[in-house]
Amino acid sequence: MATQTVAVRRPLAMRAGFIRSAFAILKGLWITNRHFWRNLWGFIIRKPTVFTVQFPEERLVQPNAFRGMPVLVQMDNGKERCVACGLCEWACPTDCITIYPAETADEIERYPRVFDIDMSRCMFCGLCEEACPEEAIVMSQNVEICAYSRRGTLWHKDDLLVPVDKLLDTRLFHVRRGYDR
Amino acid sequence: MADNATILATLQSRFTSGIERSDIYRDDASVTIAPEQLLDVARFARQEASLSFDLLLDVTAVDYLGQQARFEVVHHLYSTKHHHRLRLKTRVLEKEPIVDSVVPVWVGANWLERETFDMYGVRFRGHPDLRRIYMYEEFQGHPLRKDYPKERRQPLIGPGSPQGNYQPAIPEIPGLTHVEGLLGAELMRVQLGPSHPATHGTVRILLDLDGETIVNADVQVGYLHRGFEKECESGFYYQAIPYTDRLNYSSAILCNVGYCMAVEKLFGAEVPPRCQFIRVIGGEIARIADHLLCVGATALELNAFTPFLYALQARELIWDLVNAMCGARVTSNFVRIGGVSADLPAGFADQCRAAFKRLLELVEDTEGLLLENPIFRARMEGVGVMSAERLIEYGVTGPLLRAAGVDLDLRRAQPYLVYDQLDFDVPLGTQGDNMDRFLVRLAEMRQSVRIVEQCLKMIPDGPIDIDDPALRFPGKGRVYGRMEELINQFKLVTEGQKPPPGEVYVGTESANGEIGYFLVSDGTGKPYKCRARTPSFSNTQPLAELVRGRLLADMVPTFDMINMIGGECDR
Amino acid sequence: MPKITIDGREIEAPANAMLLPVALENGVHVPHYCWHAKLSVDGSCRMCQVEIEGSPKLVIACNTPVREGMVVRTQTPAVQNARRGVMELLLVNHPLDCPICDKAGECLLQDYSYAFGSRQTRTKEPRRKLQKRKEIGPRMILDQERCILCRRCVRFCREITHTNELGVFNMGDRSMLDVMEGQPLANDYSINTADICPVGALESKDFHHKLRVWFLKKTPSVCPSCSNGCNITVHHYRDRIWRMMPRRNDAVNESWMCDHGRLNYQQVGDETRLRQPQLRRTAKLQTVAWDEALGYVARTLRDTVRTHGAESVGVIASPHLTNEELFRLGQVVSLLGTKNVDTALVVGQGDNLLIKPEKAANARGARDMGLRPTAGGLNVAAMLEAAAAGKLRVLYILGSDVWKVADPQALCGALEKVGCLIVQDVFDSPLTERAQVVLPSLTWAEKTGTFTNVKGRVQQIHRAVAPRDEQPSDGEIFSRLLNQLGEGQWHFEATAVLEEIASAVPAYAGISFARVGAQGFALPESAGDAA
Repeated sequence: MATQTVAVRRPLAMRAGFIRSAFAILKGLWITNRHFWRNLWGFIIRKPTVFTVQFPEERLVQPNAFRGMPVLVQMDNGKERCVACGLCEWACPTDCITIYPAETADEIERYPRVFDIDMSRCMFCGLCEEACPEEAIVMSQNVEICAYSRRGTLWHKDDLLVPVDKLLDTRLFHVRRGYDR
Repeated sequence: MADNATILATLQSRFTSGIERSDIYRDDASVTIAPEQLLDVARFARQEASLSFDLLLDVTAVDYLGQQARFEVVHHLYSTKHHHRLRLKTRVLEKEPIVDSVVPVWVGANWLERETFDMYGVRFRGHPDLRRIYMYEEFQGHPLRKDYPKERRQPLIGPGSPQGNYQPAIPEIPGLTHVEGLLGAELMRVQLGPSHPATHGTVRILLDLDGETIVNADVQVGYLHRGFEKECESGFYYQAIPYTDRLNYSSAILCNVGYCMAVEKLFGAEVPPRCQFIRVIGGEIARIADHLLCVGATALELNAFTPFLYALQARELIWDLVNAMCGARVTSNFVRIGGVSADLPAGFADQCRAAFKRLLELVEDTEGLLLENPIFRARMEGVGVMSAERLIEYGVTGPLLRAAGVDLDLRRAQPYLVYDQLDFDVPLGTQGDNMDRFLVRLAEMRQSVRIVEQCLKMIPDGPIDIDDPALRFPGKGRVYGRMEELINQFKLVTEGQKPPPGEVYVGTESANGEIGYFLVSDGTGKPYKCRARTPSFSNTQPLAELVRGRLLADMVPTFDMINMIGGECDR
Repeated sequence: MPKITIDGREIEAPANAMLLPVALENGVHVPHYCWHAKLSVDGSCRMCQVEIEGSPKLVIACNTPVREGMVVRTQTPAVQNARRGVMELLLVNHPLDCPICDKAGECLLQDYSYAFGSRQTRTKEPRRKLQKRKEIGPRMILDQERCILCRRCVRFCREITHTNELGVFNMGDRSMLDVMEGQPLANDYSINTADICPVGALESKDFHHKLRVWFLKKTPSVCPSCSNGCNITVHHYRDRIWRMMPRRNDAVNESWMCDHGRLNYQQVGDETRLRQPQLRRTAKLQTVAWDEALGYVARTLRDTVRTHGAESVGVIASPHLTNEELFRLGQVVSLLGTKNVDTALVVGQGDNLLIKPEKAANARGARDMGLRPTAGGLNVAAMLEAAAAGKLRVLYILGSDVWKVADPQALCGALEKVGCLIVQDVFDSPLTERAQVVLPSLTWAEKTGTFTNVKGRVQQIHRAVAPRDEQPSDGEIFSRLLNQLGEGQWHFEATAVLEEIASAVPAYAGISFARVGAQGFALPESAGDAA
């Protein structure tokens, strides 16, 4: 297939004319009016066409690929799936994850005694999720990290745990598509 | 287009002694020349008809700490006539890092050399104005030197004044000493920025005004400098991808694609066709978003609020597409070394078509409100004109250059990915004023829509990742249950992809021009040098000349049409 | 000297050498698991197979002696195929433990699988189940599933410690590593088995689940626990020491170190350490600024010497300080003019492998720097006696070893009587309770300098962790004292002080950091130990 060059079409030379200016104004009125009536009609038939979302009362429905803040997957027994292997901590470009591993008597002998994510540094890039060899850290739909102090943006393990079935049809659905590549 | 061997042969036959080394690695021609020959070689490369390297893309340096000739100053050249490239390298000593400035040959070397001086401390003999450009004058040391630790912090105010009694010194504009205006009054010094509502980007422009006429301007960038290159050099190759998002944050995927292509070139690897199509789709969608922002913001800053809303509404549709592809609207982090992070979601083609239908309507409305509008036209037409030759000399690429009628679009000139299979037009301007820049961007959006629609029809089935465990993380399904793949995952994450030693440059057409990545690998998992040649930096440079002699009000549309993206310009 | 060719390179090899070490020494990397430079050849892993011209099959390089004219190839398809096969078999039963295994990141199984393995698993069968987390000794745990049966640890216990605790039991694919019945792996060198284990089968309890090895930064140093001066690498991260590993030095410790020395790093990061100088103005010790404390010390010393003579001052040095610091201390002592100087040295048990009876890294250095009583001077016991008799008015004690050396009753009596007790130490101790001035001291891990081991080998230590609050090193304290006592402008910079030592101490003539290097510098034989 060939590409070719084309010259852009410039508007006709502007003659110092009242008529052209008036025409431009009328055209502008026509366009803005069209938008107005369209939005009004949408409002009347309850299918709003305005794209403004009244956050936080209204929220966008995010696609399942959506990459919010990283969370820890909680297994059915209430414990985290994470075994504190540290790959996410290492892969994180901004060093926002801090893990201190420890030993447990469970079958899998290791667990994160401390698992902190500094959300004020996290940039939601998802490399932790990609590095994880256990499907233990995934991105959630949550993006709200406001806190009254800097300390509040440091999320600890208990804040980060999310039951696995809450993630199944969001991000996990998205990443699991690529598992057998 | 001359092939690399011919270029090198031409140079060698002319300079028998000055050329220390010349080689072709991964299709990149490069010559190492003696420092005293640099200016001659540069002149020859520019003037010789069979070479005619009229576009200086980039000047940077590589710090080979521990070697006697420690700094290697690297120039990347491009010929808009023949569409070929050349890399000029010059080694300078650690003791006396001085090399000739090439500003007499390409005026655009000015800022690039200032940056190299700022970051590496290499001095350029004959440079008209060798100041720091990103760091402040009080900064100690040169941050990109290998012996400057990444962790070192310096106060943002001058040393010795930690209490903050820092008086911002207003630097003198070079070449301007107390010029009197027409009426005998003194010139008025106006600071536009660093945080000005009409500059969507943090930049300070020092203007000297005679009445309303701009006598001189000094553009000061660097307010968004965050050490992109230093960060990249201290992380693994895969860790730099999120940082490339933040170069041009209004078309992040295009920046991802260029970077990953550069790393793949280091490996000599090629991604499968489906992946290439997905990259083109993502990239073109991002390009539309970038142009929409530029068009809308220009309208806004010329007091037209409604078209701005239409453009942003259209951009919202684009963000929804990007969001569905990769899970983030702006900072996509979509492309991976050797692939993409995920396949297109189900029903993406239909979503795209529906979005484009509405998008084109909105673009039409934006255009309809503006193009016939006398105020808009009065502020755009005939403003910010510069000849094509002068723009090339400044190193300007992209829509800006095409608006001046130069047929330079890397997608057409040096097709990469699958652009050679696609049918699209390259819109060119005729007069090179702001109106042409505006029109070129509008036209490019429509071409991008065309490209994406073609891709969606043509995209083949198949893998989206390269089948090479040394590049791409293995599929998670296998990591969870198999030993070799688990080990592979561990080794890739902990040590990174390790390309063979070598250096490559990859230039791709981003929304504002050529974004080029110059990578030097020393065989480890971290790039030894990761340089981003960004279009916004080179495009912003002629601003001072574009507005000189014009009214202050002309500053705004001209700056908007340059579309300086702070993240990309300041890195 | 037979000449052989490896991968097209001509190499001159020592006679009767085996092929593998020759290749490794010449920079040809041949992968291997069971072979270890300091252990006998086992030949069990089959990883080091290479092709030798004229030989019908691949041979293992570790057990093939070099021959004149031998032509070896290490990169041929046959060799690569063999390695791939070996790796696949090793991984067939290896558990998917990388995420929880301490070895991940420095694991040879990972390295070789990535470099030479197939990267594609073909097995679907369940993996062998054996005992995990088996406590086999006070400091070691064993994971039998992870073991690849290279028997390095077995040979270590047989050939180095001669204790024979470990063995491989059963036969064929049921073979497994275990300890002998009723014989736990409790020898003094047991953690070395974790170092030489190429996988994560043997793990030290101390480092178990502590930190991923990728984070660790490594600083070469010397073990501070006895006068053998084993070369070590300090592994640290976030200004904390996480573990210590032996560093090979054939003249000192080969590749080993003892468990006691290895685990003796806790004091560095201890929270109860002394951090600020303290002064007793009233009944209680109060934290004061450095200048004030040192000013007080200098004033006391000067006034005492002036009014009561130099013999009323006693200094007990610590053999844990570096040569450079001790040299500075010597300058302080000679400036004061006292002859009452000695080093308190704890002497305990030694063995015939590495552990030495002198329980301090720089006992020899302290003697060489002249910190021992000269003619007419008092030794530790005599000083305490003199203090008890009221003849010694100021006692400057460095470290707390004197508490273990001296007779407790004599010490208590002396401390009661002495007019001013100055203590410079890392921790609070019964000494600091009685002290007039307490100066905090830095540990070996926060300093750069040299130690001289018992055989007269000068070796470097490097700062691994940064001291908190810019706490000055002991050498810096002595330098400031010298300044306060009124002589010139002294600074403490280890390189410069070592130069001073080179010109002032005859036995150390010509020494410098460059000559000490990574492997140490043996003092000439004539410079015999003064002890």
